[in-house]
Amino acid sequence: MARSGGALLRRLLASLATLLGVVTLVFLVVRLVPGDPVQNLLGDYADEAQARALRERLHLDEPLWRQYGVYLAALADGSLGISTEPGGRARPVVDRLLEVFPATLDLAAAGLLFALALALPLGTLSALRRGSWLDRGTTTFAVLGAALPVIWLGPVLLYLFGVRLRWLPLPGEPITGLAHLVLPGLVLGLALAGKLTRLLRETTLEALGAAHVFLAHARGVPGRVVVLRHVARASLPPVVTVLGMQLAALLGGAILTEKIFGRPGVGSLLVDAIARRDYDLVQGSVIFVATLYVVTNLAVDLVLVALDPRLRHEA
Amino acid sequence: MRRSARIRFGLAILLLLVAAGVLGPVLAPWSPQARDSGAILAPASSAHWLGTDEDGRDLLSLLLHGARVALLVGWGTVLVSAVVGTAVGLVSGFVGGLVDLGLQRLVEVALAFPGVLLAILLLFVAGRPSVTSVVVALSLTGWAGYARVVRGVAASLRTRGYVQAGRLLGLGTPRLLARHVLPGVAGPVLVLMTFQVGAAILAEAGLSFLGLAPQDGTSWGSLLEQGAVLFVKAPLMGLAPGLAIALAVLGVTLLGDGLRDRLDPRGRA
Repeated sequence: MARSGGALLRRLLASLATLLGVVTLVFLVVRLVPGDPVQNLLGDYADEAQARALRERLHLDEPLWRQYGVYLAALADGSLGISTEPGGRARPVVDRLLEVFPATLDLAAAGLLFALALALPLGTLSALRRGSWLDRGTTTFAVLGAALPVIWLGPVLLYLFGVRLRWLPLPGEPITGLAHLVLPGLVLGLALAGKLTRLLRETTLEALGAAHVFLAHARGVPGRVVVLRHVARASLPPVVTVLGMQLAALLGGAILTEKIFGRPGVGSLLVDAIARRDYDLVQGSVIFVATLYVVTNLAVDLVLVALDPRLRHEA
Repeated sequence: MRRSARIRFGLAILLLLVAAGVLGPVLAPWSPQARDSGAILAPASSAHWLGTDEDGRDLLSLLLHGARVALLVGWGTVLVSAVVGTAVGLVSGFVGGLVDLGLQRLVEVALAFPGVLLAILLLFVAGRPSVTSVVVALSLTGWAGYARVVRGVAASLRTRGYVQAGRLLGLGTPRLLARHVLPGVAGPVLVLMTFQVGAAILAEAGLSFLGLAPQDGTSWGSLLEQGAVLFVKAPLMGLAPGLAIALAVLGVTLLGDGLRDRLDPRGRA
């Protein structure tokens, strides 16, 4: 117990170090990449006094390490900076992010659900019926799913199901019920579904050849029970690991998906912030999403430890 | 699809893409800037094989010019990322110790940024994206995957007999790395490179779709952004750029798949 507690603490500290690295990298990119924020913010017609005032307000006239201190202090109070809304009202970045975050979470959950609903049965079945038409079809689907760009698939499906067939709502129509999540979730989840299906097929094949599975068959355990209890227990952990790593891609894809379907969310907010050159909001959104990713990965690791007792005593 | 078929099909698409990227501007029947004011959003015709866009520009010519940008961004990103990532991974895995610990923290930070997120930030701050800045932006996190894979292989090779023998013969670390360890990591790196070409093409299209397109070329992603809202009026504008992206990515994915299976017999179906 003491040893597993130590491992947990180490993992937590590593996550914190990664987070500090993330915010530092964001700071360095914003401050060191050529490009003058003052000029970007004020445009070409600002006079010298205005420019100097803004430079002072943003602490750009101070040495880099002082700026870094100011930046860390601003992060520590949790506001992530100040953003100006289209109406001109100034609000903490974190408030604006949390306002739209549930919409992004809905989308990501729909994508994840869709991916799992496809990958779990397809991956397992194609391994059990190896070489069959189902297996071949699944492999083709997996390769295609990973290659078709979200930004193409989205508009195509919108056209098919929204414009032509009128089965599903179009962007801009009032958001009611779950119908609005079907297409975005499908588009977002397809690439992940493809990757997970292939992985699960491989890990299932490997598990099927393991001695304990052979033994279970020999003991006369019914086939369905062998698959659900003995095979899945060995084939699923790698899938959970990859799922954790793929959450980043899912969040990245959500930015594009939100724009395609005109959905509110962190992605739409970020795109809007880019167009309005809202520095604090762009920087804050990037930090927010990266933090989310580090935290979910930590959670995935903890789930893995729960699934696989051997990891509990690993250094 | 069988492994050899996948490799051959992937190679064929890749060659087509390279040909379009190199020869495209010569083959293109129109200049990508030429505006045919008599044909705005025109359907396919003998003058414009794939029709025209909102400004009367020839879609086929735009796509051919776009192949060059896709190719430059794809391979540019992969070359920068692979060189940096392999170097970091070799040192990290082979030298070990504190150097390894420090470098691995860097890798973790780079891997903590979802896909195009850091690229969005960099291109936003720099303003006026170019092919070069897109490559830099995507490489900023792209190297980390190589570093992680190469580190693992290099660490396992460190204890191999032939490497130990080289060390006993008095070979220095740089020479050991270059002559005895590097060949061992070539396979996995090659596979990663192939996959990353596709990922970089997708990422560039995504960035352009979000309004961060390189200003010094024609991007498939920008064409797609234009076309996505014009589906009803001009289906070809909506379909063709996406198909170009999908085909390019499919080609390199199949190639990478086939190569991986060939290099790693365990994964064979």
